[in-house]
Amino acid sequence: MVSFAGLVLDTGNLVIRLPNKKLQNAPRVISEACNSRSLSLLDIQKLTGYLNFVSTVVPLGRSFHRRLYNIEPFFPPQAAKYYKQRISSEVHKDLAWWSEGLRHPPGRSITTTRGKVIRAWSDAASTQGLEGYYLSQSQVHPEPDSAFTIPIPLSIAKGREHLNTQEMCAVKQVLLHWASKWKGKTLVMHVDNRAVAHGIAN
Amino acid sequence: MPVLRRCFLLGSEYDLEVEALWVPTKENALADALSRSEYNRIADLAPPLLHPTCSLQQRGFLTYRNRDYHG
Repeated sequence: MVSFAGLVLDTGNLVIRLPNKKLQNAPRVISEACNSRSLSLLDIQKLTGYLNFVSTVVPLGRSFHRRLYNIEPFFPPQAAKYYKQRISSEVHKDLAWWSEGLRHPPGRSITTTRGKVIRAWSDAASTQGLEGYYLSQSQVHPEPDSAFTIPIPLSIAKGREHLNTQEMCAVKQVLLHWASKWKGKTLVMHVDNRAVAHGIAN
Repeated sequence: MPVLRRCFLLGSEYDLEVEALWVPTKENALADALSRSEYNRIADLAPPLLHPTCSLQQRGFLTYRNRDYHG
């Protein structure tokens, strides 16, 4: 274990992690913000600074502090220290994401296997089923255990979810089925729905 | 979109870099056939998936809480 720039480099497993002290602080910092209906500029700056740092080991996390940054311009330039801005339900959802995401100590792989690419495909047929399959680098056809087709569950069918949501559900099923096998790799999801592709890519 | 948040959460949990590529439906033929359970098309596109030992519907719908860690 080596400490560098406030992070812990686990040279055995080739993973970067947060130091225990910072990790232990996470639930308190986030739950304080979660329980507040409004925050001061200083609170927001502290929180974004902290989450920005944590994002070093949680690469996808950057998407989930954007809304906090977006509040900053709404503070008047000469606002008093105690001036607070109300935080939206969307920001609360982002904070809930962080709260859940940091339940497991995050770690980011720095191995060369990061270059290994898994290509996966998913699709949803609105009234029929969700589907997913993947190919490793050299495969042409999916292996029998690397594909699934599952009927649309009643909860989704009854709720008449929008097709975009169903397509996203198919991506989620792919991750739920196989993400644990792909730890530290790059996953390229192929989807035929532009909204889903745009949502994941951005 | 809560589903997208959940996908990112899974990606973070398993240290995955998730990228997305849009493909026209024509090029997503196997996925399309599988989602509609069109076995004739599946047989043309990926014969191994119709092998008797392969049960495509064996994997059920998973939720975040009840996921199968053994994949």
